Amino acid sequence: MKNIFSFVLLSLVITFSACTDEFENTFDKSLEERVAELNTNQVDILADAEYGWIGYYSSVETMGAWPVLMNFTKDGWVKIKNQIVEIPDEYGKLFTVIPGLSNELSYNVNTTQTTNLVFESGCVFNAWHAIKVNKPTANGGSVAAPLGGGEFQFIIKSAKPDCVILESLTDKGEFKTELILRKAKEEDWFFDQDKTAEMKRVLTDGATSDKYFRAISIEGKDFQGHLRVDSDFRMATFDYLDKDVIKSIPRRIAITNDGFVLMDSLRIDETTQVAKFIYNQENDTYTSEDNGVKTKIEYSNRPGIIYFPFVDEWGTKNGENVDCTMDYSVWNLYNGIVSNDFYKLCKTVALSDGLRNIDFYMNNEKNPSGSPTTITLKYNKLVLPPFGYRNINVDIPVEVIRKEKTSVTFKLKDDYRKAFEADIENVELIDPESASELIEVLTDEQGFYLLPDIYQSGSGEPYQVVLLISVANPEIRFVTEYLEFLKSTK
Amino acid sequence: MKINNKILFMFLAVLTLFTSCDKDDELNYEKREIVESTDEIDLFMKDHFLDKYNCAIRWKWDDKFVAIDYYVSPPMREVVIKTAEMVEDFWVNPFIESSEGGKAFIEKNFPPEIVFIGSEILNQNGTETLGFAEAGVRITLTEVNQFDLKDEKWLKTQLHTIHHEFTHIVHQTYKLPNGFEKISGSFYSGNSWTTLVDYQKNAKGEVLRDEDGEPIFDHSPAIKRGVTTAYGTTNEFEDFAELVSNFIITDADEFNDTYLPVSDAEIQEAVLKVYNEIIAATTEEVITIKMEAFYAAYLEGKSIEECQAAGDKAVSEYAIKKSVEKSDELRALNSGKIIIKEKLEMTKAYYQNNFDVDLENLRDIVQERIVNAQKGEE
Repeated sequence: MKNIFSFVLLSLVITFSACTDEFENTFDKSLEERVAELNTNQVDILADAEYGWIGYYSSVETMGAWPVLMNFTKDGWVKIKNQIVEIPDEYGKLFTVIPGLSNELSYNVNTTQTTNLVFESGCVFNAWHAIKVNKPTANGGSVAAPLGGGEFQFIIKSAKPDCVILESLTDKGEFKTELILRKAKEEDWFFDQDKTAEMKRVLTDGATSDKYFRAISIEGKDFQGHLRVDSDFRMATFDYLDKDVIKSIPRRIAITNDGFVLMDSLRIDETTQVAKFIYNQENDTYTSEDNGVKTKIEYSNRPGIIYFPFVDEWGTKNGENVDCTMDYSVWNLYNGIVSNDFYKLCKTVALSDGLRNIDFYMNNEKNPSGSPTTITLKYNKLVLPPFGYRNINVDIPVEVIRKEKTSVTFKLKDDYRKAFEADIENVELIDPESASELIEVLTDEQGFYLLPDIYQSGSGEPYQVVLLISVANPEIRFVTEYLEFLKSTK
Repeated sequence: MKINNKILFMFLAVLTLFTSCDKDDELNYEKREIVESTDEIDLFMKDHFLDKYNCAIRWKWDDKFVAIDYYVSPPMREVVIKTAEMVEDFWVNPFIESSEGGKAFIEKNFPPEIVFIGSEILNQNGTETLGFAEAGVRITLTEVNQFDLKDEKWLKTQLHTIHHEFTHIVHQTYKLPNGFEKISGSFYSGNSWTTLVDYQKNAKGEVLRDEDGEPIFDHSPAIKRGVTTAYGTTNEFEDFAELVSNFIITDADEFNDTYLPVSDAEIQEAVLKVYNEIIAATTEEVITIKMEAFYAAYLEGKSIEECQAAGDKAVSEYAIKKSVEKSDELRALNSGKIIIKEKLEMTKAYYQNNFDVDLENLRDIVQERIVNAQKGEE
C-alpha cells in the first residue's frame, strides 16, 4: 500500500511538471536562431573577401586541378569563373572538356547534420560531371563513361577569414573532393589563357632547351632528385634518393600564371616542405621558398634518379623500393602518373624484336689511334645453327656530332651497311634494312642519356663503354647500376 | 493487489497523456518568413506556370527531388527559361491549339510540379534514368543542360519523356482505356523487358550507330509482341505511355512504316524484291555460292553449260531461302503491328471521347514544331 502512494505521488509530480508555460532553451537562443546565426556567419566569411576566393578543383583523384574563382554576395549570389580544362583523349589529342565559364548563380548555406554550401544552378563543378572518358569494358573494348564526381554541394569543414575548406557532400568511397579556398587578388580574375598555355608548355617541354630532365636541388643540402610532369593531367612525380632508397611521390598540381602549385604539399625531409613553385624565365628555373627553404628545379640532361621502368605498361611497380601510388583500376588514366619524360625515353625502345640492348663504345680521346667509336648491337632470339639461340654483336661505326656533358647525338657513318656485310658470321642473318628503325632513333636530335663505364679488354687494357639507357631491353633493371653511377659522378 | 496496481498505472498513464501537453501551449518555434523571389527566372515561372496551371517549376537544386544514390547536376541558369518555353511550345500549347477539349484537358491535368535536372540521372549501376513521373503529381526532366532544339535526338528524347510521363498521369487519373490491358496481357514481361532490347545491324552483323556513336535501337522484338518498344513490354501502363508518346513524337510516315500493319500484297512485294535482288546481285556472297556450285559440278565432270546451270540453281535456292526468311519475319512483325493498331485506335477513341482530344491533330502540331525547330524557326 505504501508503494501505491509512492507511485501516485511520483506520477502526479511528473504529470504536473512535464510541461511548463514556457520552454526554456538550453542555450541563450533557440535552435532555429542558432542555426540561422551559424549560416549567416558562414555567409559573412564567404562574402567578406573583397575579391572573392581562389581554389583548385578537379573531380577525381587521378588528375590534378584547375583554378576556380568565386566571389560571394551576402544576398545569395556567387560569381564563378574557371580556367579552361583541356584533357587529351585516348589518341593524345588535346580537347577542351570545360570551356572558360563565367557564371553568376544563386547559392545557399544550410545546416542539417553539417553546414553545407550548395550551388543552386549548374556551373563549372557540374561541367566536370559531364566529362566522359573511355573506360575499359569486360570484353576488352572501351566505352565512353562519366569521369565521375563533379560536386556542387560541399560541407564547410572550416571557414576562416583567410581560408575556407570545403569537402564534397556526396562523394562516396575514400576519396572526397576537397576544395581549399584562399583569398583571391584582383589580378587573379584576369585569367590569361595564353599565359597559362605557355606555363603548361614550359612545364611540359622546357622553355628554352630540349633537355629532358628537371633536376631538383635544395640549397645547402646534399639532395638528388628530379621532377616528372604530365601537364595534360596536371600530375607531377617527385623522384629522389632518401637514404639510398628511391622515393617516387606523385602529387596533383595546378598550373598557375606564374608556375604551379601542389594540391598537397610534399615534405621531403624535416625542414623541406614544398607547395608552390614560381617560374623564372631568365634562367629557366622553378623555385620555391616554402618554409624558408630554397628549392630549385632546373632543366638538365642528367636525370636525378633513373629506374627502369617506373611503372610498366601493365601498371606494375618496379621493385619494393619504389614508393608510389598506383590504381590499376583506372588504367586508362595512368598516363597521369607515368610522365611524358618516360615516354620520350621509351620511344627509343621500339626497336626490332630481337634487339636486346645496344652498347656504345666511345673512342678514347686520349688515344686517337685506338678503336673507333662504334655502336654494338646485341641481338638475341636469333637462331644460329648449330648453336641455337645466341647473342650476336654487330659493330656500326658512328660519328659523334654533338657532345654535351652526358648527352650526345650520333650520326651513322655512310658505310654502316658495309659494317653489317663485313661481319661474315652474321651477314646472312641480319638484313641491313632492319637497321632503318635504329637509324631513325640514333639520329634523333634530342640525343640520349649515356651510362659510361670502364671495361677491360682481353689484354687487360681499359676502354670506355657507354650504354644508351634509352634503348634498353624492358626486362633490364637499372636501379642498382644507376645508384652506383650516380654516386660515382657526384 | 497486482490488478489494483495495473489499474493505477493505466490511470496514471492516461492522466499523463491528457495533461502533459496543453493545446494552448505555444511552441517555441519561429515561423520562417517567406520572401517572394525577385529572380527573373522565378518571375517567369510564376507568370507562365504557377499562376496559369498551379504548377511549380523546380529549377534550383533541392536534394529532396533526387535520391542521394543518384549522380546528377542542377540546370544552368542559361537553359532554364528556354526549357520552360520548350515545355510550353511542345507540350502545353499543342494541347491548347488542338481543340477546346485539349485546352481544358491540359489545364486540368497539368502536373503540380515539374523538376528540371541539368544532367542525366546516373544510377549507381551505371544506367541512366531519362525522366520519371511520381504518383501523377511530378514530372522530372533530365539533361536540360544539353538544351538544343536543333538537336533532333535531344529534342525528341525530352518530348518522349514529357509525353510518356504525362500519359502516366492520364491513366493514373482516369484509368486505362477499357480493355487495353487485355489485348497484350500475356506479352508483358515485367523487368525482363531488357531481354528484348536489340540494335539494328548491317549485313555483317555489326551494330549500326548514330552520329553520336550510340547504337540504333531495333524495336522488332517488341513490335512482334504488339508493343512499340522493349520498355513498353514491362506492363500495360508502360505500354500505354510508350504508345501515346511514340505516336506523338514520331513522324507520321515513320510511325506508319514502323508500327502499323501492311497488306499481304505489300509483304509479297517485299519478299519478291528480296528474291530479285539476290538473283541480280554481284555481291561476294552470291558469287561465292555460284562459284562453289559451279566448281563442284566441274569436279563431277559436268559440261560448262551444266556447271553454269548448277551455279544458277544454287543462287536461286539461296534466294528462295532468304525470301522465305523475309516472309516469316514480315508476317511475324505484321501480326504484332495489327495488335498495335488495335490499341492505337482504342487509345485515340479514348482521348477523343473522354477528353475531346484529337491525338492525330495533336501529333501533327507537335511534328510541325519539331520540323520548324530543326530549321531554326520558332
